[in-house]
Amino acid sequence: MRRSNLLGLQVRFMYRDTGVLNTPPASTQDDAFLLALVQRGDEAAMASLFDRYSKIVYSVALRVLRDPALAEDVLQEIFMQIWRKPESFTATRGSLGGWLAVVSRNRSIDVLRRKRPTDSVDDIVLASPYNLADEGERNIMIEKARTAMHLLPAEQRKTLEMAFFDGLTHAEIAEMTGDPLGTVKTRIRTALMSLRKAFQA
Amino acid sequence: MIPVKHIDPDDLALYAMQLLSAEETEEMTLHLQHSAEARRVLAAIQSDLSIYALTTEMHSPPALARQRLMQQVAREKKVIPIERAAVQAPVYQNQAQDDDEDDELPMRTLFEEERKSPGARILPWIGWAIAAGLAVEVGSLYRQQQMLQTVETSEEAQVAKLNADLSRADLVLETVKDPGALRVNLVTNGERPAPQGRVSYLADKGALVMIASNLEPLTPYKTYELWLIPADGTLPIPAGTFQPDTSGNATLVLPNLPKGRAARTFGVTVEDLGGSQTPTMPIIMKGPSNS
Repeated sequence: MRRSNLLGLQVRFMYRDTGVLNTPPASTQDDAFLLALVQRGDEAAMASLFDRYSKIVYSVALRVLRDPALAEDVLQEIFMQIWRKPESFTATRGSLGGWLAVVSRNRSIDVLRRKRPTDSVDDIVLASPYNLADEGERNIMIEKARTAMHLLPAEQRKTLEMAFFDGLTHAEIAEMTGDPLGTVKTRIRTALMSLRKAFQA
Repeated sequence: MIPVKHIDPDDLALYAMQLLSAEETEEMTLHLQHSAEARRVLAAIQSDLSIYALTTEMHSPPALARQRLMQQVAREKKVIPIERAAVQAPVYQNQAQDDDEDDELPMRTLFEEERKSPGARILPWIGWAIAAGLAVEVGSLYRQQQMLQTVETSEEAQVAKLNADLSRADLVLETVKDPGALRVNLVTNGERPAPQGRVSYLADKGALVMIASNLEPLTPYKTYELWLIPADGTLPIPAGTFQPDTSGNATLVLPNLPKGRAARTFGVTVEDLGGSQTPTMPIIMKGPSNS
């Protein structure tokens, strides 16, 4: 709380003389700065965050739901959460994009299961050091992730896809593929570990 | 007493994806509350998942989604609390300083404060509260007006751009389709121009434009038909019929085609008027294969 107040003061100080508090922020501004502006009710900052991350949020939701209208509903809901409660996102520090991708997936699975949101936005914490704010960096990461996934054995890739994007439980996957439960769980974990190693390499 | 139980890291991945049963989820949540190591592993898994989420094919949201969000944002405008003005507490003179001065002043002031009724004490604050409320309201109205002006300007600019784009698109279409347009085929000196066609095709949008020239005139009740030869080796898809003008020129603009069909190439055949669902040999014109 004290930190956000300090940020707010910095923002006010920076713009006090120029009188451009509502000027749309440049694309290079980091997420924490934009969130601080959003916390102060700056709509232009909100638009900047939308421009930066709406594609990720929408694409993940569309992949899960396969319905553009439902995916847009998820998109709107998530960004309105940012507007209403930006302070809950500040803690993610530099990984807002990754955080939003996970939240979009979880919300979409909730919609798929026709149930109320199961997790609080504050519950998801990422250890990710990756900053997706920069479009160039983001594109490189996307390519890197896709390449890493292509290198995985087909059964690992398929199992992770069924779990993450289709929201199937390990029991459901086991039933569909005929693989033992333990194998399904291990494949999911191994696929994620391989992805991590590819990024650490 | 906190139950100590071994947690399978595989289950943490399932927990992160909300794939455990309600009972297992509850048990895992309890464990996470008491294990910093488990929370660290979970955060790392969430991070892996965020990377994995990026492997999906990227799509831009509908153009109006941004506008809808910003309208909702404007409806839920935030009222930033105004910092309270510092209100000075009543100052009473120091007793030590007053020893040689008028001793009654502080006492009188104190008694006056005590004698004030609750209503009298609250009354000045009501004035301040009304002033603060008015200030907030005026500020809010001003911001609202600014926002409306911004939205209006942005929308006007958008409409102007759309109109300009539309006029340009109309002009392009008119230039391509108008029978009165001058069409000239540039060829090497002395060379007899051969029938040819150019196709531009956007597979993901199912959009196609074809411009053909030097076509032979057709016999009555016959038509040219363009065919999309799919890249996946399935049957050719009819992509529209067309008739050349007296100079042998023809255009085909945005025929009804399914979206997302990758094309290996295109071909043109002569069919009965009204077109056909399967091509009739021979193929008059054909593009090189793309695969």
